Amino acid sequence: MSVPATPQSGFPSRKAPLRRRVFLALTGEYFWFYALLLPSILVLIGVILIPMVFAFQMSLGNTNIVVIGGKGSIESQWVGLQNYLSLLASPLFWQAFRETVYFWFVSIVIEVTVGIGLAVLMNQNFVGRKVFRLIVFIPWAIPTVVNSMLWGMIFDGDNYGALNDLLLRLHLISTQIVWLNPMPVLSQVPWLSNMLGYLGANTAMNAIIVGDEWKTLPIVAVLVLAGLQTIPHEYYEAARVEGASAWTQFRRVTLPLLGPILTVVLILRTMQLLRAFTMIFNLEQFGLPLLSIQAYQQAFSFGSFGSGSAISFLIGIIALLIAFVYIKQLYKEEM
Amino acid sequence: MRFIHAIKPRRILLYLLVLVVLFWTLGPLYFLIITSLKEYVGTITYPLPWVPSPFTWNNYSIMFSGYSPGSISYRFLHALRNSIVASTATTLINLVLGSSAAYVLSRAPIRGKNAISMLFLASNLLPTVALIIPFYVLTVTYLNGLQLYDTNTLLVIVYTSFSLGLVIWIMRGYFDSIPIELEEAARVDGCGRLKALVRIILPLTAPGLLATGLLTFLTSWDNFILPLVLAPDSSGYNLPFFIYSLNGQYLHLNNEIAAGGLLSSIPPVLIVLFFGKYIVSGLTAGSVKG
Repeated sequence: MSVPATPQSGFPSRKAPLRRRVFLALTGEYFWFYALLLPSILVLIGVILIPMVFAFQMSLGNTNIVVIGGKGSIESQWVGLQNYLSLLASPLFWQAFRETVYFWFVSIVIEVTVGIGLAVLMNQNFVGRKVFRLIVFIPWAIPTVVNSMLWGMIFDGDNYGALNDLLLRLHLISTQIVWLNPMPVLSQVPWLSNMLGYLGANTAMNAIIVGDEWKTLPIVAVLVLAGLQTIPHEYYEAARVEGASAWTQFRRVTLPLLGPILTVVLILRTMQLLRAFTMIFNLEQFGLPLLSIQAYQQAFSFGSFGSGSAISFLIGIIALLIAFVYIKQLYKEEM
Repeated sequence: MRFIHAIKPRRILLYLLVLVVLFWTLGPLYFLIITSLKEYVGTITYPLPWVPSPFTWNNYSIMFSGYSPGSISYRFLHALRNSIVASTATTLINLVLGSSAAYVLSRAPIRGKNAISMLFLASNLLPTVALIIPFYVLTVTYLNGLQLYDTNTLLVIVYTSFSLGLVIWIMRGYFDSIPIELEEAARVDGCGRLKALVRIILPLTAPGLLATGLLTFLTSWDNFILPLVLAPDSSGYNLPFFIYSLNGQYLHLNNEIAAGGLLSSIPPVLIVLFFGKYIVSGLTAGSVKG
């Protein structure tokens, strides 16, 4: 009994002879395990890996799609890495890149600060806390398109937007502001305005960030709250005995122990922000050319599937790099 | 005692903050609800009425006024049906495929099962935007014979591939947490592997199945870019695409958009209100404990 052929799990050991393993694979024991795993592997290969490789192949050519009577054909002329090179040389691409980074950075800063604040608030003792937690969670459930339309109505500037109406009633502004036009921010201070504009800031972008946060802050706060609730109460009591102030307790006890869940939330949100499309497309069409918008526009408005694929492929690679960092983090925690 | 406690300045600040958050959360929702109950003229008068005036139920009733082709009601009901069918089918397929694969990846002693799990997770993290172009091109060219373009079936296939990774990842965590002895005891009593899985193990992972199922449902229900590219014409569109198409180029019928939007928000809002706890525990279990 030095090497049991059938260990506790019921599956034959890895050290069992190959012939025996092949035999078992085709009969009872091992059969189920192949049968159960195979469909998912096929989905992964067929619907993720093959399209990804195909996108790369298309990005290496001047690719046009001609659809006649519902039947499409590909006309592609090999150009090598030309699509990538002209992207990297195009100011529009770098503008899109900066806008994407701006969108990501501002959103993440809001989510970390306000998100943790909101979670701490939800964790306090007050009358109606249970109902409060439920209400706060609702916006996350609103479908993204509905959320986009809602904030379109709120920020409407030409006529009858809710925000303008509110501000006019309170006499905070005297004329309607067209929030969803990409206008420079802080135009009183030209140099700062120019710098922020270069980095991607404008009123439309900021308005969209606000609308997007209305939907996403709840899930960040609720996940952080789940993290807060795992911190044992004794830690705070010990800190209080030592005479630590509320702020010191927060910095020395809460934040370090929130570390793992914050990392997870940040990475997941980063991935989602990279794919942000719906709200921008609904409110601005192609007015704010983030990377995802540009990829869509290149392919489906201009018909250049080659350069559209190149942008998509770059987005995919960036996403996979971030995913790699995330997965490494998960495994580190498991150790 | 409680009263004295309540008037401390810290308490006042706390309740003020609660009020601010409630205003931020409910203000936009209130605006959406009153807009959906206004006649069109009430959305374009200035100053804007902050009560539903002139009041009407009409924006809701036109969504259910029959199935005559081309009417707004036809398009709404068609989109509703598509959304329900696609989201439910995706959820069921994902649960069956995903929990099967997760079970194997949790139990079987195969080499590289961590790597396979990571591949699945990575596939879930890949942005939809990165794959829509190849999806579209493959559908209209090489796979043209399958007649998948503009169908709900195509959306189900694509949704499935995008959320399968998450289901596998989260469910694997749940399977890992179930002691293997339990399964062995069942097998000693004469259960086959599959029977032990279905009878003993799956019921124990019910919270995980619920969480991943609901997450899949919500993601599919919310999807916009895939119908926009793959099913924009006449038959495959879903509720988000329907709402988008209400927003005309020259005329913004905000009251109809609001009514349609609220109707399509009802299922996800109910899910979050009743099962939010499970969704959160699924998300934290899957992403933190691995």
